[in-house]
Amino acid sequence: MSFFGFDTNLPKESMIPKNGEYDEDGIDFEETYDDLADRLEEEGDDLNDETFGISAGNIGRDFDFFHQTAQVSTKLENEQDDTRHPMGKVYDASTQAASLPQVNPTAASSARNPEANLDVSANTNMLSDLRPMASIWETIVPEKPSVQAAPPEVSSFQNRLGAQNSEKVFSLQELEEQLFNSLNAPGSGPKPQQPVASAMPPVNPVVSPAVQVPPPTSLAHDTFAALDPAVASIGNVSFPTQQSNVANPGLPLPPMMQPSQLFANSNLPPPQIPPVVYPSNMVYGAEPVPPVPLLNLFQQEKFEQARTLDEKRQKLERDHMLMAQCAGLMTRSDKSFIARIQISQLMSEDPESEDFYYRVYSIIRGRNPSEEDSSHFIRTYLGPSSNRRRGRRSENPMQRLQQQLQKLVSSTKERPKTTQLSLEGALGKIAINTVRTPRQLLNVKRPSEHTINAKETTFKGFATKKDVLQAIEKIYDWLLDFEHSLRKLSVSNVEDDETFNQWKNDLNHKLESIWNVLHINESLDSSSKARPPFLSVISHPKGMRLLPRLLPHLSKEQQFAILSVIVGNVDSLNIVLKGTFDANGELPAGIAAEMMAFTQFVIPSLLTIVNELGMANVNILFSQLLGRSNPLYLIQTKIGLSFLTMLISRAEILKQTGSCTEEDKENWARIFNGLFDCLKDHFATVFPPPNARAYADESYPWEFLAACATAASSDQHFVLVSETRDRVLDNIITSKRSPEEIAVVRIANVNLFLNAMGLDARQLSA
Amino acid sequence: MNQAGQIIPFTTSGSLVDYVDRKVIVVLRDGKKLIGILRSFDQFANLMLQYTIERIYVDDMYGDIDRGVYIVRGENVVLLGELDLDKEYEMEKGLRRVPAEHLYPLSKQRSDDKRKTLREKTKKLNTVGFSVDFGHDDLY
Repeated sequence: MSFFGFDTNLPKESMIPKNGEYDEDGIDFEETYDDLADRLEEEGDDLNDETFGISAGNIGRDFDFFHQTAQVSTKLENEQDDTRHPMGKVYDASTQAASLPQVNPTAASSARNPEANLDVSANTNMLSDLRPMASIWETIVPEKPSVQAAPPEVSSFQNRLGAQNSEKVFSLQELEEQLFNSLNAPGSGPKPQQPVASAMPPVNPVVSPAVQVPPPTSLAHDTFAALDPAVASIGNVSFPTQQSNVANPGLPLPPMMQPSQLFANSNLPPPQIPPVVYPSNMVYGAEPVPPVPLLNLFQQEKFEQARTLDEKRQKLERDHMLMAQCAGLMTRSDKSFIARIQISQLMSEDPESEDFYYRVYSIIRGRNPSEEDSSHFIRTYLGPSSNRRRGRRSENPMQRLQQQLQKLVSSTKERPKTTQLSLEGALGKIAINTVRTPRQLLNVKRPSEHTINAKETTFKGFATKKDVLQAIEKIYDWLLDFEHSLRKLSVSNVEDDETFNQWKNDLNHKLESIWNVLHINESLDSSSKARPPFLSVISHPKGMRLLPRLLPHLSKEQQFAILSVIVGNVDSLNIVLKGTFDANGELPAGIAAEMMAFTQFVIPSLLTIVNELGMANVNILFSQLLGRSNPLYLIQTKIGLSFLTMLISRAEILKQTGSCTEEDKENWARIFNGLFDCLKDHFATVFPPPNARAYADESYPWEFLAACATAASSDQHFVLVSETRDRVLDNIITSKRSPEEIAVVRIANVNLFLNAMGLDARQLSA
Repeated sequence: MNQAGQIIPFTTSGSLVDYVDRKVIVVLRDGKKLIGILRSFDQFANLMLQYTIERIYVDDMYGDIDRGVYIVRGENVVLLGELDLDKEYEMEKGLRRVPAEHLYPLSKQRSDDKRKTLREKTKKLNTVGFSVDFGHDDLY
């Protein structure tokens, strides 16, 4: 519409060189004077009434563009170049509307107002029509306000014109129609329009019977969609489904509607009718329309968002509705029934036999298909009681389940847990350890009887003092045992020989064990250099105490053996080895006590043995003693002297009583003389040193001297006296000065010696 | 009693009670995925589903087929999971929805390939002493 002859061509078109020149400077106003005012042609005013709608009454609801717009088709052909402005007409209208009041303010405004009012009312009516219709196109409803809110300026113009969004849409529709017509007319060329042409006819009959409002609204969407090719493609793909839906636009969604719609995320726009419009629009839309499309994009984003949100909401609602519809098909009793079955299966001792499927399986597999199985099945699953079970147990399901749980727990506890299991193919057993069956990590063997006996047969001597003590203890044990049984029998009456014999055997047995334990025999080997074990026993005070108890029970031979051992090894006794007085006249620590113990316990018992010895034995012992030990050293010790004294006195007694042979006597004399010669000039050493005050009044040296005196000849006497004279006199003299008790002792000691020689202390007192 | 006033029987972890009347997805041993509302079950995990659709997934596409009410034998069920309705959109996020008919040939091809490779794999594993748990026709 170019009234005033206004050239509505874009400046771009003016750039097309008409003179063969191409002016790049844009509009150069000097040279673009086209003298339009002169070229103004007024022939366009014929249809002003039509265009501007002065007669408002003619405007009805029936906007039938197909006929009326055809009348202006020629006009539109001229403006066919204006492809880029689908809204161009709108703008033109708006500019015209803007300019109209200027041209004819009063008349036009008055004319326009009722028109506008009417238009408004008409439009509101249309809007009200829109709403119920839009219920089918649900998502469109919320967009309506947004679409309308967005372009206020445009809509205001449109309102004045009487063209709102719907009218904008209408203009589009108008445009579409123009296109259609233009396409039908020869002279259309471009290929893309052909499929459009083919599609168009089928679309039209679809559109026409439909209510008019939905198509426009969908068209609005179409255009929006067209501007976003991605959306358009979706529309293309979903075309077939849309067709089906379009067929029933008015039907409300049935509850059992296609679940695909329920569950599928329909991110395609709601069913749209002519997606074919897309390609056509795309043909147009080589470039998006400048100012209007910007607004459209913004609208479109919001539209999309709202649409998806809404879709989500609706889907959710639909889902919840569907879920709720048939809810409760499975009752509480059903659930507890199943739960009970599951628990009973957990608890069962032999799950396989209780499992239906397993039994069927085993039957199939060839177990004897016995009558009882099938009848059992029938009874359980098809019998009269199968349903009764259901009804009865619905009370207190919780309690029953708790009970079952307790049963389950207790049965597990009671069942004896396997400590071992052997899998097929695994070598041996696999141990399953718990706190109650821990794995044994150590293997400690008790030393058996056999090994103990083996040890005892080979006695190699006492290794440590502990061994000695152990041996002593062993001896004691046996000894006590022996004494006990001895006592027992002595107390009880001997009833018959059998018990007596038994007892005797018993005793003998014990004695033997003792003897074995003493290890005497091994020490008889004189060639052995090792210290005899018995000596170790004797060296110990406890062993010393043992000897007097033991010796009476032993046989003579045994006693002699003991004695000979001791005598033969006197020098190795500790008390003898260390028994000499040191420079201070002191004995080494503990030796004195040991000597005491020895003298107290051992010597007497040995003495008893000695006192029963025959001369021959005495000779043997004596020679043994002298042979193995050093007499000079011996006489310096108390114990040594004791032994010597013992033997010498015994020998003399035997000599005097005459119970010895001449040979023995001679032997004895020989030995004694040998000893005497050895000891000559050393007899003084028998005495403790003068500074040994504690031992000054010991009698043992005097006893020895006395013994020697009895055995000695008169020459030997002389030697003895001469060597001991000092001491003797000393004693006598000091005895006169010392107190009574000491004096008596000293005199007695001296007299021992002197008497043996036939002298007396009184004789010397002068 | 839970919030809905329902007595929940004490059950083991193998119970499907909590899934009843919820929208679930079930994967079967042959690889099918069924989405529906679980209405009932039993001790063998036989299931009854309503409003079921079978969804076929191939590459980045998926297609739905409406199936209605299903009864599934428990033996064939691999797994069952409840669907969060709020997050359903995320299930389909990276995927395109296509009509299921388009996916039939593709899906068949995929499952054939899978069956073949599975068979070969099983054979190979058996030679080195592994025992494979897949059943004869399992394609999941």
